[in-house]
Amino acid sequence: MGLSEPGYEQAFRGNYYLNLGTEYMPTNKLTIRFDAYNILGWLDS
Amino acid sequence: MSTSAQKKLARVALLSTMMASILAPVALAQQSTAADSLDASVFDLSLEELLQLEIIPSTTLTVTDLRHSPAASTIISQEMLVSSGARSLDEALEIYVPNMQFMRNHHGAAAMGVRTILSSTNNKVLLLVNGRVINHRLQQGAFSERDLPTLGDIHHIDVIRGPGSAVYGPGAVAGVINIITQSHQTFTGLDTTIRLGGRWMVRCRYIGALTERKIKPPITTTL
Repeated sequence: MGLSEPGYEQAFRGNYYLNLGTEYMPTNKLTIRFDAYNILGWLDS
Repeated sequence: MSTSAQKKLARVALLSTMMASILAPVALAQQSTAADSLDASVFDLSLEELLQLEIIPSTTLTVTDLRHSPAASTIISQEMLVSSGARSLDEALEIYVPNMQFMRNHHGAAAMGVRTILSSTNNKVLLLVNGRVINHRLQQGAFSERDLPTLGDIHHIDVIRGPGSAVYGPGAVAGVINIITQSHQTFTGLDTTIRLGGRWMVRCRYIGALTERKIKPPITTTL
Protein backbone atom coordinates (compact mmCIF):
# COMPACT_ATOMS: atom_id res chain seq x y z
CA MET A 1 0.00 0.00 0.00
CA GLY A 2 1.39 3.34 -0.96
CA LEU A 3 1.75 6.13 1.48
CA SER A 4 0.13 8.59 -0.88
CA GLU A 5 -3.31 8.61 -2.34
CA PRO A 6 -3.65 7.33 -5.92
CA GLY A 7 -4.37 10.78 -7.23
CA TYR A 8 -0.88 11.89 -6.29
CA GLU A 9 0.66 9.92 -9.14
CA GLN A 10 -2.24 10.26 -11.52
CA ALA A 11 -2.99 13.88 -11.04
CA PHE A 12 -4.41 14.43 -14.45
CA ARG A 13 -5.83 12.27 -17.15
CA GLY A 14 -7.71 13.13 -20.28
CA ASN A 15 -11.48 13.43 -20.08
CA TYR A 16 -13.89 12.66 -22.84
CA TYR A 17 -17.41 13.96 -23.02
CA LEU A 18 -20.22 13.27 -25.41
CA ASN A 19 -23.08 15.74 -25.54
CA LEU A 20 -26.00 15.48 -27.90
CA GLY A 21 -28.74 17.97 -28.56
CA THR A 22 -31.58 18.67 -30.89
CA GLU A 23 -33.24 21.94 -31.69
CA TYR A 24 -36.69 22.78 -32.95
CA MET A 25 -37.81 26.19 -34.13
CA PRO A 26 -41.60 26.30 -34.38
CA THR A 27 -41.45 29.99 -35.23
CA ASN A 28 -38.78 32.44 -36.17
CA LYS A 29 -38.60 33.73 -32.61
CA LEU A 30 -39.04 30.63 -30.47
CA THR A 31 -36.44 27.91 -30.12
CA ILE A 32 -36.87 24.71 -28.14
CA ARG A 33 -33.80 22.61 -27.43
CA PHE A 34 -33.24 19.30 -25.79
CA ASP A 35 -29.70 18.53 -24.71
CA ALA A 36 -28.17 15.51 -23.05
CA TYR A 37 -24.79 15.99 -21.41
CA ASN A 38 -21.98 13.56 -20.70
CA ILE A 39 -23.66 10.55 -22.24
CA LEU A 40 -20.51 8.49 -21.84
CA GLY A 41 -20.79 9.13 -18.12
CA TRP A 42 -23.97 7.07 -17.96
CA LEU A 43 -21.83 4.00 -18.61
CA ASP A 44 -19.04 5.03 -16.28
CA SER A 45 -19.85 3.94 -12.78
CA MET B 1 -15.63 16.18 -58.49
CA SER B 2 -15.14 18.54 -61.37
CA THR B 3 -12.66 21.37 -61.27
CA SER B 4 -15.37 24.02 -61.29
CA ALA B 5 -17.18 22.32 -58.42
CA GLN B 6 -13.93 22.15 -56.46
CA LYS B 7 -13.34 25.83 -57.07
CA LYS B 8 -16.88 26.64 -55.97
CA LEU B 9 -16.47 24.53 -52.82
CA ALA B 10 -13.15 26.18 -52.03
CA ARG B 11 -14.72 29.58 -52.51
CA VAL B 12 -17.59 28.78 -50.17
CA ALA B 13 -15.22 27.41 -47.53
CA LEU B 14 -12.91 30.38 -47.75
CA LEU B 15 -15.83 32.79 -47.70
CA SER B 16 -17.24 31.13 -44.60
CA THR B 17 -13.91 31.42 -42.81
CA MET B 18 -13.51 35.00 -43.82
CA MET B 19 -17.04 35.89 -42.79
CA ALA B 20 -16.59 34.30 -39.38
CA SER B 21 -13.44 36.28 -38.89
CA ILE B 22 -14.75 39.51 -40.27
CA LEU B 23 -18.34 39.83 -39.21
CA ALA B 24 -17.99 38.59 -35.69
CA PRO B 25 -14.95 40.08 -34.21
CA VAL B 26 -13.41 43.19 -35.21
CA ALA B 27 -13.23 46.66 -36.40
CA LEU B 28 -12.77 46.79 -40.08
CA ALA B 29 -10.12 48.76 -41.76
CA GLN B 30 -12.76 50.53 -43.73
CA GLN B 31 -14.82 51.69 -40.83
CA SER B 32 -16.25 54.54 -42.76
CA THR B 33 -18.23 52.16 -44.90
CA ALA B 34 -21.42 51.08 -43.25
CA ALA B 35 -21.79 47.55 -41.97
CA ASP B 36 -24.77 47.06 -44.22
CA SER B 37 -22.74 47.56 -47.34
CA LEU B 38 -20.08 45.19 -46.00
CA ASP B 39 -22.59 42.37 -45.61
CA ALA B 40 -23.57 42.67 -49.22
CA SER B 41 -20.22 43.42 -50.80
CA VAL B 42 -18.13 40.69 -49.17
CA PHE B 43 -20.12 38.03 -51.00
CA ASP B 44 -19.27 39.65 -54.31
CA LEU B 45 -15.52 39.45 -53.81
CA SER B 46 -13.37 37.00 -55.70
CA LEU B 47 -11.00 34.55 -54.01
CA GLU B 48 -8.04 36.79 -54.71
CA GLU B 49 -9.84 39.80 -53.31
CA LEU B 50 -10.88 37.91 -50.20
CA LEU B 51 -7.28 36.91 -49.55
CA GLN B 52 -6.18 40.51 -49.80
CA LEU B 53 -8.95 41.92 -47.62
CA GLU B 54 -7.34 43.88 -44.81
CA ILE B 55 -8.82 43.90 -41.35
CA ILE B 56 -7.69 44.49 -37.79
CA PRO B 57 -7.82 41.06 -36.17
CA SER B 58 -7.82 40.77 -32.40
CA THR B 59 -4.26 39.51 -32.49
CA THR B 60 -2.65 42.74 -33.61
CA LEU B 61 -3.05 46.48 -33.50
CA THR B 62 -2.28 47.09 -37.12
CA VAL B 63 -4.22 46.58 -40.28
CA THR B 64 -3.30 43.29 -41.85
CA ASP B 65 -4.81 40.40 -43.71
CA LEU B 66 -5.74 37.15 -42.07
CA ARG B 67 -2.80 35.27 -43.53
CA HIS B 68 -0.37 37.51 -41.70
CA SER B 69 -2.14 37.55 -38.37
CA PRO B 70 0.67 37.09 -35.82
CA ALA B 71 -1.16 34.63 -33.55
CA ALA B 72 -3.71 31.87 -33.72
CA SER B 73 -7.18 32.88 -32.65
CA THR B 74 -10.63 31.40 -32.32
CA ILE B 75 -13.86 33.31 -32.60
CA ILE B 76 -17.00 31.96 -30.98
CA SER B 77 -20.12 33.67 -32.22
CA GLN B 78 -23.49 33.89 -30.47
CA GLU B 79 -24.90 31.38 -32.92
CA MET B 80 -22.13 28.94 -32.04
CA LEU B 81 -22.81 29.43 -28.32
CA VAL B 82 -26.48 28.63 -28.79
CA SER B 83 -26.04 25.68 -31.10
CA SER B 84 -23.38 24.07 -28.90
CA GLY B 85 -25.69 23.80 -25.89
CA ALA B 86 -22.91 25.15 -23.69
CA ARG B 87 -24.08 25.88 -20.15
CA SER B 88 -21.24 28.16 -19.18
CA LEU B 89 -18.27 29.98 -20.60
CA ASP B 90 -15.98 27.14 -19.60
CA GLU B 91 -18.02 24.65 -21.57
CA ALA B 92 -18.10 26.87 -24.63
CA LEU B 93 -14.32 27.28 -24.52
CA GLU B 94 -13.82 23.57 -24.00
CA ILE B 95 -15.98 22.76 -27.00
CA TYR B 96 -14.62 25.25 -29.49
CA VAL B 97 -11.07 26.26 -28.62
CA PRO B 98 -8.32 23.87 -29.69
CA ASN B 99 -5.46 23.28 -27.27
CA MET B 100 -7.34 24.66 -24.30
CA GLN B 101 -7.15 22.62 -21.12
CA PHE B 102 -9.22 22.61 -17.99
CA MET B 103 -7.89 20.87 -14.91
CA ARG B 104 -10.59 20.43 -12.31
CA ASN B 105 -9.88 20.57 -8.63
CA HIS B 106 -11.65 20.55 -5.31
CA HIS B 107 -11.19 24.09 -4.13
CA GLY B 108 -12.38 26.46 -6.81
CA ALA B 109 -12.70 27.08 -10.50
CA ALA B 110 -10.99 24.66 -12.83
CA ALA B 111 -7.46 25.64 -13.72
CA MET B 112 -7.59 26.98 -17.25
CA GLY B 113 -4.68 26.88 -19.63
CA VAL B 114 -3.71 27.06 -23.25
CA ARG B 115 -1.14 24.82 -24.88
CA THR B 116 -0.35 23.26 -21.49
CA ILE B 117 0.61 26.59 -19.92
CA LEU B 118 -1.60 26.35 -16.90
CA SER B 119 -1.59 27.57 -13.35
CA SER B 120 -3.64 26.59 -10.34
CA THR B 121 -4.25 30.28 -9.69
CA ASN B 122 -5.44 30.92 -13.25
CA ASN B 123 -3.02 33.78 -13.76
CA LYS B 124 -1.72 32.69 -17.14
CA VAL B 125 -4.80 33.65 -19.10
CA LEU B 126 -6.10 37.18 -19.46
CA LEU B 127 -9.87 37.39 -19.27
CA LEU B 128 -11.51 40.52 -20.63
CA VAL B 129 -15.03 41.80 -21.08
CA ASN B 130 -15.26 44.32 -23.87
CA GLY B 131 -11.53 44.85 -23.64
CA ARG B 132 -11.41 45.46 -19.89
CA VAL B 133 -9.40 43.06 -17.76
CA ILE B 134 -11.50 41.28 -15.13
CA ASN B 135 -8.84 38.96 -13.76
CA HIS B 136 -8.69 38.85 -9.98
CA ARG B 137 -5.30 40.18 -8.95
CA LEU B 138 -5.18 38.58 -5.53
CA GLN B 139 -6.09 34.92 -5.68
CA GLN B 140 -8.30 33.40 -8.33
CA GLY B 141 -7.01 35.00 -11.52
CA ALA B 142 -9.38 34.47 -14.45
CA PHE B 143 -12.42 33.60 -12.42
CA SER B 144 -15.37 35.94 -12.99
CA GLU B 145 -17.91 35.23 -15.71
CA ARG B 146 -16.71 31.69 -16.28
CA ASP B 147 -19.52 29.91 -14.50
CA LEU B 148 -22.42 32.22 -15.21
CA PRO B 149 -25.32 30.23 -16.64
CA THR B 150 -26.53 32.70 -19.25
CA LEU B 151 -24.59 33.37 -22.41
CA GLY B 152 -27.27 35.27 -24.28
CA ASP B 153 -25.71 38.67 -23.74
CA ILE B 154 -22.51 37.67 -25.52
CA HIS B 155 -22.09 38.79 -29.09
CA HIS B 156 -18.92 36.84 -29.65
CA ILE B 157 -15.79 35.68 -27.86
CA ASP B 158 -12.28 36.28 -29.16
CA VAL B 159 -9.76 33.75 -27.97
CA ILE B 160 -6.07 34.16 -28.71
CA ARG B 161 -4.31 30.84 -28.33
CA GLY B 162 -0.92 32.09 -27.35
CA PRO B 163 0.88 34.99 -25.69
CA GLY B 164 -0.81 38.32 -26.17
CA SER B 165 0.81 40.73 -23.77
CA ALA B 166 2.24 42.87 -26.56
CA VAL B 167 -1.31 43.86 -27.43
CA TYR B 168 -3.31 43.32 -24.26
CA GLY B 169 -0.87 44.09 -21.49
CA PRO B 170 0.63 42.01 -18.69
CA GLY B 171 -0.85 38.67 -17.77
CA ALA B 172 -1.52 37.20 -21.20
CA VAL B 173 1.10 34.50 -20.88
CA ALA B 174 -0.86 31.58 -22.27
CA GLY B 175 -3.74 33.29 -23.97
CA VAL B 176 -6.42 35.94 -24.07
CA ILE B 177 -10.17 35.53 -23.80
CA ASN B 178 -12.05 38.65 -24.81
CA ILE B 179 -15.81 38.54 -24.32
CA ILE B 180 -17.66 41.05 -26.47
CA THR B 181 -21.20 41.65 -25.28
CA GLN B 182 -24.19 42.67 -27.28
CA SER B 183 -24.71 46.37 -27.73
CA HIS B 184 -27.41 48.59 -29.13
CA GLN B 185 -25.75 48.19 -32.49
CA THR B 186 -25.93 44.41 -32.49
CA PHE B 187 -29.18 43.58 -30.75
CA THR B 188 -32.36 45.37 -29.83
CA GLY B 189 -35.24 43.52 -28.30
CA LEU B 190 -36.02 40.83 -25.78
CA ASP B 191 -34.13 37.56 -25.43
CA THR B 192 -35.50 35.16 -22.81
CA THR B 193 -34.26 31.67 -22.03
CA ILE B 194 -35.80 29.12 -19.68
CA ARG B 195 -33.73 26.07 -18.76
CA LEU B 196 -34.78 23.01 -16.88
CA GLY B 197 -32.67 20.04 -15.89
CA GLY B 198 -29.10 19.06 -15.16
CA ARG B 199 -27.79 16.14 -17.12
CA TRP B 200 -30.84 16.34 -19.34
CA MET B 201 -31.81 19.85 -20.23
CA VAL B 202 -34.80 21.36 -21.93
CA ARG B 203 -34.28 24.90 -23.06
CA CYS B 204 -36.79 27.35 -24.50
CA ARG B 205 -35.51 30.56 -26.01
CA TYR B 206 -37.71 33.38 -27.17
CA ILE B 207 -36.36 36.30 -29.14
CA GLY B 208 -38.85 39.08 -29.50
CA ALA B 209 -37.16 41.96 -31.17
CA LEU B 210 -38.69 45.29 -30.38
CA THR B 211 -37.19 46.51 -33.57
CA GLU B 212 -35.59 44.62 -36.37
CA ARG B 213 -32.82 42.39 -35.06
CA LYS B 214 -29.48 43.72 -36.11
CA ILE B 215 -26.45 41.52 -36.43
CA LYS B 216 -23.61 43.76 -37.38
CA PRO B 217 -19.96 43.92 -36.53
CA PRO B 218 -19.32 46.35 -33.71
CA ILE B 219 -17.92 49.60 -34.98
CA THR B 220 -15.39 50.06 -32.21
CA THR B 221 -12.36 47.89 -31.98
CA THR B 222 -12.20 45.04 -29.52
CA LEU B 223 -9.08 46.37 -27.86
